[in-house]
Amino acid sequence: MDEKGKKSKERNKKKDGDLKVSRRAFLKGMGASTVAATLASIPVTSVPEAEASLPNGLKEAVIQLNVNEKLYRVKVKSHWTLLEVLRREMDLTGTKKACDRGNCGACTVMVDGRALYACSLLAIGMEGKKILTVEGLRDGEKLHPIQKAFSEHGGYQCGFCTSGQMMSAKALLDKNPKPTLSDVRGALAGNLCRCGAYPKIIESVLSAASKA
Amino acid sequence: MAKEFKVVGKKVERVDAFERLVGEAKFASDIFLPGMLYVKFLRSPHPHAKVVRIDAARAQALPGVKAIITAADVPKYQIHGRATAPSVPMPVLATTARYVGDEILAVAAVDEETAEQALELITVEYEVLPFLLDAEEAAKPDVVKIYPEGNIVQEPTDTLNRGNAEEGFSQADVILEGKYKTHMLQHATLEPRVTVISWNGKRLTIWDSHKGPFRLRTDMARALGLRINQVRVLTSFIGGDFGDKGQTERQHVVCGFIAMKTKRPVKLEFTREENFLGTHHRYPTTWYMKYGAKKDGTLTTIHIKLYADIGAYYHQDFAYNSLEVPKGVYRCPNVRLEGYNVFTNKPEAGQMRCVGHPAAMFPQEVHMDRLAEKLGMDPLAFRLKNYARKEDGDQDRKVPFASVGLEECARKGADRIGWEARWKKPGSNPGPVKRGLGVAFQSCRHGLIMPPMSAIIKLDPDGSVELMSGLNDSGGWQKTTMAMFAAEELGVPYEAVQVTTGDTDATTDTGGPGASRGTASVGLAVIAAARDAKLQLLDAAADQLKKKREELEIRDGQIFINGENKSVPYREILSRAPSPIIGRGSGKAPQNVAMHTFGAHFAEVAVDTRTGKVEILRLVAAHDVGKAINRLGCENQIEGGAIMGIGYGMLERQYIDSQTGICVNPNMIDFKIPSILDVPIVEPIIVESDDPYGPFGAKGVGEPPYGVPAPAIANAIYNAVGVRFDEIPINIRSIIDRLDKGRA
Amino acid sequence: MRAFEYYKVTTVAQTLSLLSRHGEKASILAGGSDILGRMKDRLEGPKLQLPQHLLDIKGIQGLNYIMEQKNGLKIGATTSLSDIASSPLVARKYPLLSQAASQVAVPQIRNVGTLGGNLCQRPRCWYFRGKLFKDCFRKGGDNCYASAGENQYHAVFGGDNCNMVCPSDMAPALTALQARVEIATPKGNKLIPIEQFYIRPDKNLLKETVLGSTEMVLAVEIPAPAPVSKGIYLKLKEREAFDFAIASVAVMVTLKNDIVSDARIVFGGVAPFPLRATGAESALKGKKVRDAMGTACKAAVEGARPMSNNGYKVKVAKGIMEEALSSLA
Repeated sequence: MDEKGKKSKERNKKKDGDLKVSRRAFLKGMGASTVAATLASIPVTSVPEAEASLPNGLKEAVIQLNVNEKLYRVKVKSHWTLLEVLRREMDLTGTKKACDRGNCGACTVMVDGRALYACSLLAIGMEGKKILTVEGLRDGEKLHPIQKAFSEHGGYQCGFCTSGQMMSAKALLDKNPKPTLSDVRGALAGNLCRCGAYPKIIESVLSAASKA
Repeated sequence: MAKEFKVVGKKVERVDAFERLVGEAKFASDIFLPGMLYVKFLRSPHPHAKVVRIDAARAQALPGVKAIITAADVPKYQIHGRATAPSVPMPVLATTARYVGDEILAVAAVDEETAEQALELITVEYEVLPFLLDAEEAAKPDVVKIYPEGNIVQEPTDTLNRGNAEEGFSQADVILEGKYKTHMLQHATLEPRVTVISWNGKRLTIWDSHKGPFRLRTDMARALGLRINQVRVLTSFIGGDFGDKGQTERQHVVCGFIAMKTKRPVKLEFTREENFLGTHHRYPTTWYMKYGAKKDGTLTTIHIKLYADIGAYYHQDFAYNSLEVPKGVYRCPNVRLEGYNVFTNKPEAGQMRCVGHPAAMFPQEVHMDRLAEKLGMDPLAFRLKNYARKEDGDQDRKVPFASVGLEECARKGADRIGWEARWKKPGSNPGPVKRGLGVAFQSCRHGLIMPPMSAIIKLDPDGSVELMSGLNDSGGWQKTTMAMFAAEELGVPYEAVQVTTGDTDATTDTGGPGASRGTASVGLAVIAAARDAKLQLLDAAADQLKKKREELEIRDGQIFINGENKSVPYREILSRAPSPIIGRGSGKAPQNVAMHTFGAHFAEVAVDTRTGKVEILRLVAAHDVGKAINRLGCENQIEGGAIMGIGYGMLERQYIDSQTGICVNPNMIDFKIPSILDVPIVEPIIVESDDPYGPFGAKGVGEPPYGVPAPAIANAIYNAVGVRFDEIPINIRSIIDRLDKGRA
Repeated sequence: MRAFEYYKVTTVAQTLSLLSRHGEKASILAGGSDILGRMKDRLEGPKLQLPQHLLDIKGIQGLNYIMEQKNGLKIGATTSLSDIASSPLVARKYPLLSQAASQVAVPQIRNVGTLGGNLCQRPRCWYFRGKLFKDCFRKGGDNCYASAGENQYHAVFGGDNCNMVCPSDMAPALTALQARVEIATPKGNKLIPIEQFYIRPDKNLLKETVLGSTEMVLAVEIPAPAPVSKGIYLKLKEREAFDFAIASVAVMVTLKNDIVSDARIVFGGVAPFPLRATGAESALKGKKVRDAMGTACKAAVEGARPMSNNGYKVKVAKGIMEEALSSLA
């Protein structure tokens, strides 16, 4: 066992209440995980000993994000949402910020096949997940069938909600390739459109479904 | 005018479809510049208070804070207010807060969190003053003065005396009075207000979500002491406008000032909460209406008193704007109107889709329905009898309407919903869920021709076309419609036209897409530019073909030589022209005529009397658009406007707590805009009256559909359950309260 | 948001340890739909703190499951609402629960929202959530702005000083199903009837549930309903997406030859806790649903104490109960 580990084990034996991870390691984050890994090898049988295997509190971390089948390495603060990291740190501005409270749908992305609000997800918790944004829909210059349908049927006006609408549409069609009108409405319920393009959004999604 | 069009009237995909749909379109909120500072406003927590002292020492000391700006620092520039006394100016930053949310100071920091933290470290000492939240209260004498000159602004245009109201009432067989109220709401554009400004020592570059880039440019130059050509405004993609983003606001001047002072780019993006406070609002109104009619259904008199609650700051004469509706929709010889613009300590009134008309359409169309009932007439027949015809026109300017398609809208809409067969007496079906039909008419001057109007067309050597248009595409497909005009007039395929908008360096001022003027006004300029280009093409062709200009004709993208059986494509002439061909166009508003658009909506509702829940089963929206240039774009405006109008009538209201003056629902969960589950698939009916002045006969359609659903639905609910509404939004609470009252 | 420390916990023991260590300064992070919004709003009060430590429990193995047991169903606390809504097992045997889960918010929120989060979410009262109303009772102050203010969405039963309403859809449904909540504490696990999970404002103004600051919800156990049982969950909303209930009702009736032998009727959205309508339940017992409907609905809203703007809620609570009983008659 290395020096770091020894020190920590001693602290553990003290039983003076809380385990204190070294301040330097705590602040750096990266170092702390090394400490945690060492400590985790100690068998845990009861709550006090479980304390020994506590994860460290992170204020920031360098994480790996899988977005549109590409791996990105990005330094994030723990309070940054996936939405702001995509837009500000990764130049993927196709996903929009409209309310930032999970109340409108403009920031809808797909995570492991489900439609989620990127504004309500912490980036730091997104490692190991497959994230799909609007930028990942097209295949080079070729539009995705959903994008083609929205273009043909005019399912967009100002375009700000459109990325989110198409992601929810894709989440629907991936699971239910022949949706009814009611299915489409239900799947897009969490995507508000202030311009009121709903009739043509519905037409676009049903058209994409019929052509698949 | 049954002309065969090649491009106009067809369904096309947008010129900018690709970048919008693949997520590459950069909206102003998508702009992130190196070294950028984030600006945040500190907003008053009091509805009426003097700023006594600002202590920003702790914020100043916070690492990452680069500037803290108060009223004392910024240019003396009037953001809003009046040109003549009383000027009631809105300064760049407030020293007296007049509503909860009023901007007191601004902080610029290296990131948003630091800016937010800085705000928390600033202490402002206020002298709290009494406040007023109700316009009729504020209009009384001896109440708190929100401005030293008082709380009422009444312009000469806010009163009207047409004919003689007393005589008119004496001629009436039936007189009906009513009091109606509408409330405050907001555009809730999905992209909030956002400004990015950068100063390089010589020029100021502004990225903004804005539909009036040239106005912004001029105002910013004046505010910051620059020449107009030192300012460049970029507004390519706009995430919704609906009237909120057309003027120069505090955010612009403050950011410009900070950018020049710190020599760093700055960004100010409103949070959603701020976007409900520090922006423009549809103003609350209180109407006192008294209408008189003869027993054969002829309207004799309209008498109205209107309070327009304009909130904390003065933008324009809103009372006049709302009064245009009772003045103009129906033919009436005696009309007396009194309107008041009244200040209250609430977020300020501004333009929102169709401005003051929806607030007037709801009460008038309900009042007309009630009058029809009192007369024993079918409400549709009553309206058809009284609407102002072409020859009636503007009854005060005494000029005719250019084109009128209202009757066709009404008949087609009535057919579609089955009005004749299905409109029965109120509450006629059994069971707890009652169905009903309702109708409402629209007639207003949104969709008109108004300067400034300009366009530039460049013809490239290969025959492709570049259109430089200062008209922004705020979601109404304006960019595409202009391309269609150019293509049609030039006789080239739609795909051959490329459009540049959103850059004041590369386009000319043609006004913004407000007042639904874009299609008609800018269309004329684009056609004029195309014609100018064609004339130059003819000249070049005459030179090259060694013919006289009169011997040549341009048709369908080719130059024909009279008498000879051959034609020459543009590119042949263009590739050999010594200098590029640049077409220039402008336009003028027609004189001595009134341009109105018209519409009729028919709503079918189902009302569950157990729960007060209303389902809108169908909404048929018929509109006279002159000529539908861009079919998908046109349908989108009718459907979208109607859907937004359903929100206006049924869901949306900003509630202000009367104890504190604080808005309790500045967010998207408690301010309820319609979701896809709340609306029917609107059935648009396009009526084409072929306006003689509009480009290819077109008028406009962006705003007209907005104000019609609310009264159509209110009238349908009456038809279903026999309760009348004098207030919107009509929601579960108002339905249950009135059903209860009716039962009691 | 203000900065905080993020912990990716992997066991319940870790979670309880960290809760013990940090007390009120720590909060559990499940789906995040509620807490992240409050943190972005920087919602604080005299006795309401912003969390400085967030414990992300989504990675804990063994909290995300829907399991049939000998005498009923058990659902783990981090099971998503959309998994509950789309579970064939739940739809077949506990359709009331399916209906409740599928009417929460919108798909994106159901995809991350958890059962535990839905039960523990904080009230939607716009004074509680309004940063400028610092001194409301529930934040540790001494005022309820709703009493003389915009109270159209507030309580018509059970308000006492505080007049907020319980926003959960799962809570009334689970109450009608007689569920029990399994809670992990430093001293071991405990199982309490869900009716005892919620606290009334006259007992405590600062919290909505009995969960201590060092405790967490592990699961919910639902007993199998009696053989001939019917149930329904109806939610009345102004807007069909996103909205919390104006009033909602969960009804479970057990029938013997069409006669009601047992009834459970629970309202959401009308009181600060899921409200059992015991008067209505008694009115139905021993009768056919169709015959006792009128009396039951009247009894359901007896004792209502409407505020200045929300009298309509009494009527609509009765109305959706009528609708619910009609469908079961």
